[in-house]
Amino acid sequence: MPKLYIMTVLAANRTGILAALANALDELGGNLRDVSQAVVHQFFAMIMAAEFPDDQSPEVIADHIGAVCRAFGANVTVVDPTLALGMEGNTEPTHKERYVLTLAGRDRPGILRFLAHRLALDGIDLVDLQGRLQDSTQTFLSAMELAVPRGVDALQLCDELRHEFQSDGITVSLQHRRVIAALAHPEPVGFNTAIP
Amino acid sequence: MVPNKGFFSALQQIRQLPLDVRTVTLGINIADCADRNFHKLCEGIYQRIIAKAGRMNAVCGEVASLMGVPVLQRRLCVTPIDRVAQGLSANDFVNVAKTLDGAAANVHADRIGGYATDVQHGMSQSAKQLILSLPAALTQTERVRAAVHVGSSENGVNMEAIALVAAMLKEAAEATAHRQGDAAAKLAVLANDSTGHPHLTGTALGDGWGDLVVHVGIGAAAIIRHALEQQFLENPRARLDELASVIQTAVFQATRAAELVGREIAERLGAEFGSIDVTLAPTQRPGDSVVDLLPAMGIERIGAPGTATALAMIQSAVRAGAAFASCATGGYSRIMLSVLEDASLAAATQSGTLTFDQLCMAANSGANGLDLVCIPGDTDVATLSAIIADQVSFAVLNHRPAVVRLVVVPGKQAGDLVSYGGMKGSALILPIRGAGLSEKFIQRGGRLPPIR
Repeated sequence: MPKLYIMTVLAANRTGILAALANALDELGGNLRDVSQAVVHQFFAMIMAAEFPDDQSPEVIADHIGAVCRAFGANVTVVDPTLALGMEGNTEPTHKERYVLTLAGRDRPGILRFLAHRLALDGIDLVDLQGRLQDSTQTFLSAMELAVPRGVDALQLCDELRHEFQSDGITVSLQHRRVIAALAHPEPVGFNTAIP
Repeated sequence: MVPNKGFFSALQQIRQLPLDVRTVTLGINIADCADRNFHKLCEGIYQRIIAKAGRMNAVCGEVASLMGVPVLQRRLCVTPIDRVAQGLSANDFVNVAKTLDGAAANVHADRIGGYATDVQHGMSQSAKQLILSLPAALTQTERVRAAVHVGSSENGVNMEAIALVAAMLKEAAEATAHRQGDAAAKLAVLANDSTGHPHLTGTALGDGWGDLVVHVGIGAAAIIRHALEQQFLENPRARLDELASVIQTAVFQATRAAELVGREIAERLGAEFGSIDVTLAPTQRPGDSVVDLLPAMGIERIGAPGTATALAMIQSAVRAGAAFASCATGGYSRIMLSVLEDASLAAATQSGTLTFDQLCMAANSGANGLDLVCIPGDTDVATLSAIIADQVSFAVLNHRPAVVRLVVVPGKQAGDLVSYGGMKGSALILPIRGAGLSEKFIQRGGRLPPIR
């Protein structure tokens, strides 16, 4: 019976890091189930869910990956999700709609803090976040994917955020994933909801 | 500047689009409400509208909130009333109009169309009574919009119907002289309205649709203007074919968003999804007019030489973009020069750069007839008839639809300024050259034969 672990790997972003990581996983008999990767300021970061044979302990997994990826200065963390603290109340009782929230404008401290607090008020999960800052102009563009509980008024939320950031010249937009998909892909839209 | 590449570049483009749905029109079949008993007829129509459209306002709000795409107007349209209510007097028709008005108010619809009749070949007694009822019906209701279909390329033009409608138009204006003739603005004279798409104000649920159908309309001017501005940032010297591609892409995106919203609304209402109309009609937002596209393209003022070429290019690109975006695009998809609802257009008439004659000729380069044009209150019925007939004839000859909505403003002369509330703004009363010189022609009556 394979055992699922959540792992993070932080390493220098040089050619070969992904190959080394894949080798290590292969040697451990691991199988990736879910993965997300980013490169920030020359650092490679990956968070993944992987299955391993049940005789592999998390310590062995972390040590082996660390050893194979030593040349990249890899820092590896392995967590058993069934034993992780703070996960007891993690239930998904309600259906959530996916939105993409984007902000752009002049950077200032406290933007993310305000945003995170405001989103938490409506029980909105921030499931993905990407951002870039242009040092020369101190302007940023940030995009985040939100899981929004049903009943939250997206137009109203967007208006609130626009109002909050208006004085800083930060533009805000909030779009449903289906709208973005409809604009970005030429397939027919909405036919899954058509009346037979 | 923020780095513009890959994922961020695509997101940056999409996120700034001014997406919205200009109109959601719920078409309701009320043909089976016909009843010889007048009270049962009205009660049946009223209850049918409440039953079918009772949730429309809430559902439009829910879907707009869900998708983050505003729905600006909610409209209803029903089966043409002259088919449902046969054998009524003009007074009875007025009460039917009040019934429609009350039902539309109950479900919080902004407008209701379907108070309409088709008289291309000739006028039945019912059609005639409905036309005779127009002044009272439009004066005594708020949300009802009326339409009379007077001609088509296949069937010719009913000149006698045009003359009667023109007389009723003038009477409606005079009956609302205290409101600057606003009842006249609620009456549309149509030609070639055979598309079955109820996107023009006042039009009815066309033939061939089911019992309940949702149509959506987009005002594409804002999104096109945005796209052109973005293009000019990248390439200020963009060629016209490049601009046409930009317009096509912008319209594609607007159409896709509207279809998504429309289908979601249709599903929640248990209705079929009908069609998408992509018009260059104005909204109340500043700069949201086709007039605002022209300076961006290099024509400093509407009416300057080159205006017709630019409009034709925009029109063509809009149709191409919409057609690729969805197989549900249909209807008129034309340029609406609705002077009273378009602040930029009204300003052009006030500054003298846009004349009545130019508006008439714009129909030949993609405009949709004469829409909400204010004319002097002393314009005689024959001249009104002739103006309508000219626009209908253009449409019939060119095999395209047209709408004529003339606002006769009692007590006002050419050059006076009039102001309305609500969706309408201010506009100048436009002079009509040669008024009063067509009376004998109109008095001949009869019909123009079909175009062979």
